[in-house]
Amino acid sequence: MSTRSTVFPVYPRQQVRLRTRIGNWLLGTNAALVFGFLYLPVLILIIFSFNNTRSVAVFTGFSTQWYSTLAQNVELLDAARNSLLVGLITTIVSTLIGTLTALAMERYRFRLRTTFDANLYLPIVIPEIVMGIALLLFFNQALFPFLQNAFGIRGTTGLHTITISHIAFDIPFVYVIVRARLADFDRSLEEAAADLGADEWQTFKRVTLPLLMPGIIGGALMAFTLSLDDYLITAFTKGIREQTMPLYIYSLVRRGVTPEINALSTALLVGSIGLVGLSLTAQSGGQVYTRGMSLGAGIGLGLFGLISIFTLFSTGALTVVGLVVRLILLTGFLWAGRSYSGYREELAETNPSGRALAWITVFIAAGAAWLSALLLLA
Amino acid sequence: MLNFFRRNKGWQLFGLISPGALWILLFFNLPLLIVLFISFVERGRAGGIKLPPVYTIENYRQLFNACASAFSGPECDSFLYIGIFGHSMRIALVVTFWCIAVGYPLSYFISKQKPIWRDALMILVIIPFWTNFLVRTYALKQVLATEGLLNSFLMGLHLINQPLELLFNEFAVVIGLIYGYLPFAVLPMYASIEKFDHSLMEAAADLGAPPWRAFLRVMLPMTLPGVIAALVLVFVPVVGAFITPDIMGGGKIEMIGTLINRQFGVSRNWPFGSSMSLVLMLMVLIGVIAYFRSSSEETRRAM
Repeated sequence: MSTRSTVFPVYPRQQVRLRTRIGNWLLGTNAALVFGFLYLPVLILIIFSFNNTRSVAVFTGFSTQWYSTLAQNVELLDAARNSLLVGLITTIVSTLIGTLTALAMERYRFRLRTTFDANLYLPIVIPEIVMGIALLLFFNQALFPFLQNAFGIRGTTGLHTITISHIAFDIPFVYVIVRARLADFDRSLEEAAADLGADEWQTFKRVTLPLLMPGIIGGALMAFTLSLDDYLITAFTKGIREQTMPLYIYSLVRRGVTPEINALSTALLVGSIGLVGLSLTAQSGGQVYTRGMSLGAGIGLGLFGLISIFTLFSTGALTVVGLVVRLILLTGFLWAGRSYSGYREELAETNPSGRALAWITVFIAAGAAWLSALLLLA
Repeated sequence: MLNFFRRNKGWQLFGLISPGALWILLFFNLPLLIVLFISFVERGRAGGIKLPPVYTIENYRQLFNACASAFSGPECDSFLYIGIFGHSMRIALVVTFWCIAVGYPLSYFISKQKPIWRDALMILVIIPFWTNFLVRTYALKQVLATEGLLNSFLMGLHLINQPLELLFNEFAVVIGLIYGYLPFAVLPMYASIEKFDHSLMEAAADLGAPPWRAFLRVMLPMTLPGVIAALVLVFVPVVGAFITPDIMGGGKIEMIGTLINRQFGVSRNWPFGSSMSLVLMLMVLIGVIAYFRSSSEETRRAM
């Protein structure tokens, strides 16, 4: 600029101070308004889920009646069970595939590598509705007619098509998270293992995999959360009968505003924050958290197995299959026992606040495992 | 078996990559190709496509048609479809503008706090990412509803006599979209403001620049990558949004997402829905690619 000031203007001190104060005040007000805007609706949502009348505007008294209506809502429980089933299968398959893909892309050089890498990011960036209709058209106009003509099989949409689609959009997310972990990986550790006489497979099992675990578990929990939360792609690939949680909630939310939806939303809010919190603590890298999660999950499953054996036995509702399933759940205790020694070793090396967080992850994991077992076996 | 894999690098790679490649090619790339194919054929009478396929570019021409044949009645709205595209982009621009206008000062405010407060406030910005989008949209809906808290509050203060219709209009959709995507804008802008060396502002002041000029000539240019990232991260999902316009607009506000969805619902015009999806995808990809070309690896990593 030609008119650069050569004489330094001297502002009176008081004027500068006043200006800064006004500026700071404006910034603070803006921040308060934004956080109010982001959080007040959620806070109100939670508060009115405990209202004792149908109003979502006037709080007349505390009650948990809307939560108990939820627990008796058969349609909702079915939807929750379906969501859980789809989410679990999706998580297992997409974590496995995503991890393998990340290993291949990070460790090997080959033709079309960058193209394939870009292709893996595509499902993350394109609008969800485009992926939804693409899958709808694929199933109805390509795959089902093909199956009919080639094998005489009549294809239908349902939970399986939802699962296939969820895996397709979860693979890229797992891939990105695991690959980030791999990129930070210190390969000299693997070389050290090789120098000490481990073969490739041993090195992978004893060195690479444990170090990757935080990324893998983080990716898995992210995949699970995304699958549980997805509405749009699910809506385009669903069958006629089965619903999932988001589909059920969407149908309610479109119809209107009731405290039942508030209660359901609150439950979901707590669940997904818990899950993502677990995912992030896992990714933060401390082995103590991943060990703690496996400890917690083992305890949760084991306890559920133990207690349900007693309650079912006392009511005489225990079948042979039920007993076998619950005995398998009891092995959760063995699993927990195996994780516990490792967990304690890691815990001893963690600082106090990390230790508290580690115990919290144990409890959340135990609660999540318990709830899942309850929903799937009820 | 294991020995074979151990010796042969090529087969190792094949074993690792084939499940992911197969799944993505079969359940992502192939479906997109089918969308491309269907966008070039005529529609069937009762939905689906006409068999055997009749090739046409009518589905793309229809976008620019003055008359909307797919809607009931022979209404001749002026450039209805392209108008909806333009309208969606305008809504997306308004939303992006507000997200940046409010998010930038917020990011600055957070970056000026003591470390412990900074972390706490950033967690507050991030938590919405963790919560179900549907639930958040509903949270806003129950506040704005006719029988909702905001109306009863305003009536309690005797500011209004009867409840306002706050939902099911463009205002509600815009507010809903800002509510949903504001955190997407704050994250990248915070990343670049946090790295900005504030002593440069003092240097500018010492050299005689008034605060506004120091901001315009020093701070804004240096934090521009974050602002551009915010622009892309908000504009791209908002322009193709479906859930927010559907819930907050109650079927009265049409955006590209709801228009596409309608073609697969009541309108049963799959080929036209396909062509619109591809145009939408192209728009989004152009934005993303332009962003990746313009930003350096370093700024993206910082996010």
